[in-house]
Amino acid sequence: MEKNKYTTGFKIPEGYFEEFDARMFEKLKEEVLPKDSGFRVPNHYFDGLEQKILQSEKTSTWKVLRAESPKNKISNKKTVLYALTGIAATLAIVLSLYPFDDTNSYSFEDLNETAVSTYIQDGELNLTIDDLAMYLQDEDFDALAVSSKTISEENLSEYLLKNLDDTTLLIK
Amino acid sequence: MVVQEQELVGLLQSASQKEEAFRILVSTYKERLYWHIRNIVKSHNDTDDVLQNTFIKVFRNIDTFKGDSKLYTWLYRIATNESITFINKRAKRQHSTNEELQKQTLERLETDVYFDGDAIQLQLQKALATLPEKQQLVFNMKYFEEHTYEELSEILDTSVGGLKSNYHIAVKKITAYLKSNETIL
Repeated sequence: MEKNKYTTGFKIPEGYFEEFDARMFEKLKEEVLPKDSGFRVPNHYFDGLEQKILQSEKTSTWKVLRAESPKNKISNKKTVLYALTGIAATLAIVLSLYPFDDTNSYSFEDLNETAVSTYIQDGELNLTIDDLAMYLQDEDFDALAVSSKTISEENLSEYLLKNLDDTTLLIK
Repeated sequence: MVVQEQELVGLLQSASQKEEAFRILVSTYKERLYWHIRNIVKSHNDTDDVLQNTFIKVFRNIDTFKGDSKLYTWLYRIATNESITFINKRAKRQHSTNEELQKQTLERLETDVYFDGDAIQLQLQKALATLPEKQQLVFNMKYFEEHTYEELSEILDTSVGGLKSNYHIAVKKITAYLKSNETIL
């Protein structure tokens, strides 16, 4: 406790001053450690960095990075909506040109697979694989994993040889 | 081990004996500086942090001590600055003002296990909190820590006349506060 004439009423834990020195010197050990990590940046690295980042963002083709921002997510969702609306409108016009007949109704399964592939490959559906991946749930990926088992090894090798830039990856 | 201040400074500034001299310094001044800091920051845990920071700062900067003032004056200055910086930083971090922070600290004081003051002592702390920073400092250092005006003049770099005036104004305001809050004197 204070020894002075007037006291504040403040107390200290028992033995505080007795063990203070030990704690103080323990802390002081840090003083001998280097204050600096040693990492450096090139001269003037931070000057104009904002401009550099903005510039590379503009020219970047890495849509996956852009998709991470909520704004871009909205934009990509819009793209999908526009594409789907386009498909729906086309189908509506086509179907309206033909008399409606229950016996000739069409379902997704009736779509010609080649025609769908051509439609996508022609860039009519303006989406990347990454854009599509955003709309898939975990179970969709599981389903894809299962369906990939149906791909024959021969077809897979042919596809990889044709599309892989670095074929050395295929050498076991 | 009794070492004269000048001799201690010499040892602190020598590479070979710095650590040993520092032990003496800590041992000599820890209690005085503790109470000085405690009167400013109020809580024991905060005082402990500020006291350690004060000694660390002394250790780092002892080579810059030129001996223009007494060592203990220099130590008190560092402790005072560290305490005020600590409060300012906390207020800034909490997007609050020093006054608001002090009010919160005093509210906690009533349930603080390291405060056993009676009703008058608690009221006195509340009255102190209504004063400007400088008047609080002068009052604490004169009334509780019993420094002379001459010592205060060196530590706070203020004329003795200015300090006397600060102290008397502080006492007047505190008395008025206690009377208006019906504390029996």
